[in-house]
Amino acid sequence: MEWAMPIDDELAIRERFERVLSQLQIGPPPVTTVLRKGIVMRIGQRIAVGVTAVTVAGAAAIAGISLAHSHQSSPAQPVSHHHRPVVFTDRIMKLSPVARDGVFAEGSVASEGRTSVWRIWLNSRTGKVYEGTVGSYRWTVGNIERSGHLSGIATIQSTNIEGFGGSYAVVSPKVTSIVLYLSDHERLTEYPVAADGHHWVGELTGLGLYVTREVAYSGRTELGYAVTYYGYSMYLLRPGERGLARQLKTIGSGYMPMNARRYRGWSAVVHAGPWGYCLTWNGASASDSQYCFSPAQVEVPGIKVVERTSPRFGHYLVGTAKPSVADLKLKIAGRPDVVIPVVDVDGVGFCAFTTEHYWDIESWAAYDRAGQELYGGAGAPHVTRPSG
Amino acid sequence: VAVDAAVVDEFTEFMVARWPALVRFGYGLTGDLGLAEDLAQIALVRACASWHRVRRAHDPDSYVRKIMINSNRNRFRGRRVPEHLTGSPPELAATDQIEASGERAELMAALMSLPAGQRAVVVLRYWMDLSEAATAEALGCSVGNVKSQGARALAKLRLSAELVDGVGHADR
Repeated sequence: MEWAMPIDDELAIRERFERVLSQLQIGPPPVTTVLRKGIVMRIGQRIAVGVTAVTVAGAAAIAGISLAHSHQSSPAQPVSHHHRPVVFTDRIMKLSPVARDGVFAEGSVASEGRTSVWRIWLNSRTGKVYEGTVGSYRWTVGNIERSGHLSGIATIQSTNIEGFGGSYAVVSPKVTSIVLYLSDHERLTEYPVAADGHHWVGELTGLGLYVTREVAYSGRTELGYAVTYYGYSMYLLRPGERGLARQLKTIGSGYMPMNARRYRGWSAVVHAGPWGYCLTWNGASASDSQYCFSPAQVEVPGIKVVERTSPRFGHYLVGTAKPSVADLKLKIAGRPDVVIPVVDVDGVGFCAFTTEHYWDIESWAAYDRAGQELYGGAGAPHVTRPSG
Repeated sequence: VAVDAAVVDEFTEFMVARWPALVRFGYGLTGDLGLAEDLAQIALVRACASWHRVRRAHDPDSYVRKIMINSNRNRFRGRRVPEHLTGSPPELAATDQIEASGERAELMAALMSLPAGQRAVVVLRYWMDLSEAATAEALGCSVGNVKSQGARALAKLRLSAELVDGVGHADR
């Protein structure tokens, strides 16, 4: 069959690639999404670096840092130097109580003389939720069925589209308004709009802004509130409920091979608070380095792996364990046992560790402080994918 | 909120300029435009988070490509946050699927049949047109390894049923 080959040299395959590439229709770059996520990741890295430095220095004043925060505010932003601040003015319009043409939220973002009008709407026929700005693209940001599954006071969906951050939510019929507090100290009010059998709210904000706190009201009565982790809202607390205590703990650190010759240091911290748990890796190279979940999403069947990277050289792993567990032990063929300390973060045991690709893990076990084996299993710890 | 506009502008310029090339590179690695955009986005988010370091690198493109290669090795990871990524209109993705036919489908099928390492070498060498040394640096391996992987990959592509069948397209 050799005579039939369309590629018989490197030039031929280059030409074929060239033709294929020219057919690709590539959308516009998601500048705002990337900037917003990058800024959040940078903040998380700074937190991780700071905590690691404190730990290494032996000045474990983490509890003090946590107590310094108010229970009514988002995590403090690290100090940074700015040359030219960009100021946004956000508006949310009060629409009629019943959606027209599916539009349940509308507003504007003004900055440096430019004003963009945005809308969030749904289409019962397509079953989708859309966002867009007047005169620009329409973006599909969710589907009605999944978004409409109401849990408690509100089910919040974070969204980012070109030029904006934001979120939308299905709220309980009891909710008459939601007050949003933004990171630039703006205050906005959302009013639910009925559409497709649910009550909806939504907002878009300017680049780099995020909601720090949101409060749901029924008339003048507060129904619940959420404190976000740099804009990520996991769940609403009842009035007076404080949620998880603020804690910032290093749950693991070490070295990981980056390639055949180089190693790289890493550390992992968990930042607990009224937003839930947010995990930040510092130094992990091959994957996203942040993951947040609510207390309800924490499962402690033994060990729940929520992060793994670098399959060629090994894995970064994070697990949750029962609070009674003091450490995990991995039994590896032909090597000494590996003992992994478990750190308690508000009643949940967290551990972070790495495994190398050539390890043959024969079994694992969890031990309490007295050295008593609590539970375990054959082979490597079972990996439970996070449900999100 | 106050944002360092100069840095934002610089990164935005970098991103807008590199986005099409990065998505094409991701497409070569994954064979899927949606995944390619995700990979490019992940890499740019990480580059944005470390922009102070990336901008000082002698080759920022290489830095971002490395992140994409590593991320692609690990596509089974969990999501970072419970958030919907809406970086591109799905309407475009749907259009792309419809048009993913003919020579392009055949070439991608052949490419996807290669092991990940060989595919990465082919994409970097013959798609991105990098030198053997630059390919080795991006993959974190030796030049000799790039040569051997590349030779094996080309040998397999020559025997690929998709490309044999696609000979007519090559003549268009």
